Amino acid sequence: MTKYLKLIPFILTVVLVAVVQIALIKGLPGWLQYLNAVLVIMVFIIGSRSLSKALKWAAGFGLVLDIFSFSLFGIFTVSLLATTVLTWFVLVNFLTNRSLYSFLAATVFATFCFEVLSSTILYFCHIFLSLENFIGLDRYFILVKLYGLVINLAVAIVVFNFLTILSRRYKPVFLNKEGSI
Amino acid sequence: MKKPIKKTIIIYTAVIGLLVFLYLMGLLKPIETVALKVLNPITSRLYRVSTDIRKTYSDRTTKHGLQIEIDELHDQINSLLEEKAELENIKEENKVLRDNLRFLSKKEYNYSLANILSRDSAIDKNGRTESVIIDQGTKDGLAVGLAVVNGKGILVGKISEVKDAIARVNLTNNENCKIAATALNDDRTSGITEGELGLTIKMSFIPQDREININDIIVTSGLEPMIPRGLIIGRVIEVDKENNELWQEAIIEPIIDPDELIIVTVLNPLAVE
Repeated sequence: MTKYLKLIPFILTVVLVAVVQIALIKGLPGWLQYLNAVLVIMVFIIGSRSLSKALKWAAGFGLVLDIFSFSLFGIFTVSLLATTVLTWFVLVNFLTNRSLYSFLAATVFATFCFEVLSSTILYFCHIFLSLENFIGLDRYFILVKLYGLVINLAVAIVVFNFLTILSRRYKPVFLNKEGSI
Repeated sequence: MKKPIKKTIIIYTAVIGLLVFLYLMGLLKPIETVALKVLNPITSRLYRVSTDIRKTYSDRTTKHGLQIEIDELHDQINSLLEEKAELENIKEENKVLRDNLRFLSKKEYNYSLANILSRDSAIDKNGRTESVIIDQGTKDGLAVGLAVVNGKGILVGKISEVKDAIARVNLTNNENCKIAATALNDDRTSGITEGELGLTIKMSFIPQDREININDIIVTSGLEPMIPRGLIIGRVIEVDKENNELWQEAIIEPIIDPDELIIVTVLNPLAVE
């Protein structure tokens, strides 16, 4: 029973974050509308929890986003799950400490993976299933993705600094060398 | 990769594959509908918050152009007052004629109000509001192709996709939103409108021998069964007429600002009262 009760805060958080992404962030002015809050949160979950827990969050976010999407069901879930596995792999093998730079590099990698995966799946849906509202690979498309990356990084910095206040698991911006003050 | 990790990934892949399969078979539709019905009120409220933020931001960034706009609006008010007086007479005359002919009064069709839930789908990150998601779907009698208007009856767009509890509306500035239109001029010039670059509307397939001028008001022609005649689409701001071309084109400025929409009305001419 307690196992199921534990699911309630998880479901509420997933739904709240996904709905904020869909309704609030997408409607904000300027660069803010390009923020992918779900992805930034996922990077921090991957960096601080086990892979299976991160996959659980990714599946939850993906499903809510897919419910509101008019593209083929599963695009967001599949893209988020694949991004989670790949980012986890990079974090475990190449970015082993929990410094700001690790998280920023992971954010860049995750954003790139997610955009490439979702756009590729959407492109094939557009070709084979004739789904409309596909945006071609033009200069504007790339520019918008770059705006998205910049705003994701800015938010990741804010979140990281906030987490360093709350927890000792995260290291400060510059790593102190042994012996130095 | 370690075995338990491989196992976890395989389990998740299988579960998601199964969910996608069940969804495509239509077995998850009831769950999706319930979830959307529960979430739609929260989503529409959040969208209102973001619209307020956007409006405040927009007001602050466009103040310097306001004086010029005020002068232009004064001129427009004067000419509109003259026009209004003339229209009042026509309205009075029209009322008498309608009574005599026993026309159905205002509403010849059903309509339903809908809240906007989101701009675009979350994957269309082009920044331009070219489509919106509303909180009504097939269960509310909506269908693909129905006209969507704002509170003043100006055409906002056309429904492009419908789920049980939500629908996507392609706005008039969306290149996938094609509408049979006509100009309110002596020639009643007809054509097809479609969005261009998410900013303006292009009216094409206008025969070369037809007259179309700047400032002509463009309305729906009524040639589409789902869209009533006479809904305002916009105003002509540019005419592109090349003698060697088969058709001429006109650029239309939309009258509404899609970023300020919160509630819209879906017209359903199929359900005659």
